[in-house]
Amino acid sequence: MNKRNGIFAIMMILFFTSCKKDNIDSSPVTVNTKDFLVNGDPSGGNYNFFSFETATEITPADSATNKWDFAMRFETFIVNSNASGPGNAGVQIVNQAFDAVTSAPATGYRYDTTVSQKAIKGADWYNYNPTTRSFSPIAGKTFIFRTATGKYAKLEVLSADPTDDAGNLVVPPTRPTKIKYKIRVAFQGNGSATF
Amino acid sequence: MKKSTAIFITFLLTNIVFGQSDTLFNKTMDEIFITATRTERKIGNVAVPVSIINKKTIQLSGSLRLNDILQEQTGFLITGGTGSNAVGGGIFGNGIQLQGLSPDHTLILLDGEPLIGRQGGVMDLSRFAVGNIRKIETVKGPSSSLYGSDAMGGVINIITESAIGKSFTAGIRSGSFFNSDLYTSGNSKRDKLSIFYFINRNSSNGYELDKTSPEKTQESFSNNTGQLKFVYQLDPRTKITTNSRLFYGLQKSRYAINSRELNVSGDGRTYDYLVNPVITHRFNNSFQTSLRLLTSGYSFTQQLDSISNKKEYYYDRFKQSFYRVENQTDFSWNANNTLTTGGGFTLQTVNTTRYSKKQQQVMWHAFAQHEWRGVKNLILISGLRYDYNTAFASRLSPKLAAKYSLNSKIKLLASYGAGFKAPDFRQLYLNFTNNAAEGYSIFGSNEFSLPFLQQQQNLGFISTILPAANLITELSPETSQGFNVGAQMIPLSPINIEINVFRNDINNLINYIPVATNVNGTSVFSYINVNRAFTQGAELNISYKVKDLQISTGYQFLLTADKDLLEKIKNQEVYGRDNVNGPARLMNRSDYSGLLNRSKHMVNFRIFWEKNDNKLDASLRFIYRSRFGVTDKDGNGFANMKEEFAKGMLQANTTIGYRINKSFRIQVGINNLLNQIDARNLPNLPGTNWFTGIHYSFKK
Repeated sequence: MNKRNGIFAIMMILFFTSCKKDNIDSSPVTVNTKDFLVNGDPSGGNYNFFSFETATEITPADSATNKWDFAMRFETFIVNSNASGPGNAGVQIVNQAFDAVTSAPATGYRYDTTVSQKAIKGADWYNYNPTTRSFSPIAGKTFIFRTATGKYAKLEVLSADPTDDAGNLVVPPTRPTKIKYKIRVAFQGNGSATF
Repeated sequence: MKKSTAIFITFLLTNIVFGQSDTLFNKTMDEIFITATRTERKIGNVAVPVSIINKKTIQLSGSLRLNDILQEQTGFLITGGTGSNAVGGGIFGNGIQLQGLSPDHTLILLDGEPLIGRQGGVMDLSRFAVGNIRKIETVKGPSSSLYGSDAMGGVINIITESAIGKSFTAGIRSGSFFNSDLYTSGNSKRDKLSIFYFINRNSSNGYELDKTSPEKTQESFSNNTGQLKFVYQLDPRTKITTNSRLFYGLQKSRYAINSRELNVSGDGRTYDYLVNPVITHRFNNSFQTSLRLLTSGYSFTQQLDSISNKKEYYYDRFKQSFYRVENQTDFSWNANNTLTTGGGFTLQTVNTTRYSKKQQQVMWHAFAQHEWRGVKNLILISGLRYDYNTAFASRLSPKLAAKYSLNSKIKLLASYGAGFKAPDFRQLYLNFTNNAAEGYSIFGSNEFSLPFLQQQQNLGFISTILPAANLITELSPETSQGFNVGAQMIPLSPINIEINVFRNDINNLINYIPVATNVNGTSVFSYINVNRAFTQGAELNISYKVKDLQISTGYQFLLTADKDLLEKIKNQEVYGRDNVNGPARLMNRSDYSGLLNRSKHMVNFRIFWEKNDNKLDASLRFIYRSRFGVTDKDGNGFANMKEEFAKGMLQANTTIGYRINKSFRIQVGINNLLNQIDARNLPNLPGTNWFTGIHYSFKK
């Protein structure tokens, strides 16, 4: 039974992956792993802006445009809509491995409704240890974004390290000035909700 | 009278049998006598797994501080330097882990009285010199039925020198890192009054394990200890003992804050003292009572200033006082029954810069224990203790233990005990907002207030109050149920084997949880009884002793788990990564490695040799611990990827001693022969280091 099912499964996989390949040719889902160095000051200062489409950081000069999708400062996320920007972005966090998220849900996206009511709360995606003053992103928390322009993207925070301005790791009691995030992002450019 | 003599002999035999595997070269009957006359020892040393470390072992090992000697015992793990969660180790000095329970779950006594002064739940064992110790007795497994709070993983009782006899000792020792140790002790007797004193100064320049960091791994420090003990024999039946201790420790600190160069420096100062008068009156040989008074205090102050402009950078102060009155009465109405009852009153106060005001706790306790020897070869002990206090829920702790002598070579032991740990002061009273670092706040459960959070929300400081905020309520003590089953065997005369299998189920573990989110995204925390855990394992000790040689080996196998986390893994809710930046995947039961800072395997192998005429002695000790989880990088609450573990560690220590004449003895030694270093995970373990010392002793 196992063998036959196994063969069947392989065939199905081949079938679907080949189908997917066709999709990729016409509308590629780009997956990138990026270092994202953000302002490490919890109390104030600039956010660092990120665009899924270019998979790069966006200059703060463009903060009032649709060019960015989310931004971070310390461990705070803001998304480009409502209280935080002119775009149409929204976000939700699902309890699933990044690779297992194959499509973006149609509903359930949240926004920064006010400056203090943000879509993403720290407790949603990391554990903070006040004793060691370290926070660790929780594995299996996948962020699903609707981008500022209405396309879909997913994101996984792989690691968060306290660093100095140059991105070199620092350990207590040296206070970090930046947090270096390693993020994995996937962007669906054709407007569909599948990854 | 004959009956009572029989009782005492039973106690003595119990002591001999229990102590055997760890008691090197133990031939002094008076040692055991003293133990037998100390009432607490009578209670604790029956039918539960215990060990004794005597003065000889401490001397031959060349130990200076309590952690030095404890780390070489089977099942004793010194924690230090490894950060972890509430059920893990600690970053607050050298703590002790027994049966897999963290340092805040082991009670440490000095001559039967609880020691105070824990930082983050950890009693730093390096505060205690060993030069004044006659022996160290340890009971493993819970014994809150006798000692109340903290006695979950075990109880370590440091028994200092008696004031009997006339002697004088002094010694000087120096070693690597400009480590120096000076001591003198002595006792004297005139008529009814005996005196014992001990003075020690231990200092070091510290050491460096990681040259890439501008900060030293261990900065220079000095520890100063004084002890004075009076014994006054009022009449043949009444004895007054007053023990007092004074400690001052200075720890230098230098940090490179936001810099590649040292820019902040300062001192951490620790003081502790205790005064402990005990009056014991023996009405007759089967009825005695004692009144114990204890006044003790502890304070820790840390001040850090900028090196360039001398401005204050950081200030932290913690001050604790502890007062106790306790009575204990022992009554044996016939040869088969001994009843021990007692009760007491405790007042404790704590004040720190992190609390809103000085906090105070009042506690009452009463206990009773019955020992029954009605059937040949069997000892049955039952006990119960009630702890009441003003700050948190009260607690009833039962105990049941049995010991059966199968024949002259095999003895079987089984015991059940309840343990608890009262919520500590920080869990109740912490009121702390870290403005300097990440801006988080922590409130102890008694300081926590939902209306306050709502007010903060209205003022725009807090963005969201989480549903968990409604769960914060009066804390209950952390509790445990412990089972120990074991055997003691002497299969072939000089070989002694001890086996013990243990299981501890821990409930109501206190942990912090986020209760609200600040506007800047950081969290507000408070404490809650939330976690359940277990530790289980087995311990094996084998010792072989011939005239001048003792070889012993010990092994502890340990499994631990956070029960709630296990359930989440079972429900397929827990993810993890196989390497630091790898993809997340669902975790299986087999990925789960247990609580952080627990080694599955711990092994020791020790050889002590002392020539018949005491002229020459030597020791060689190996201690191994297998790999252990130190951090959680993927947020699932346990160590699963390689980078979350510290690797296993094999330490070797050796000494050689030579007695020049009746009065002088020299000793040289090398610790950490194999130069095992792990700067990040074991900063308390310096590389290979040596020492040499000379000791003078005079005995009349």
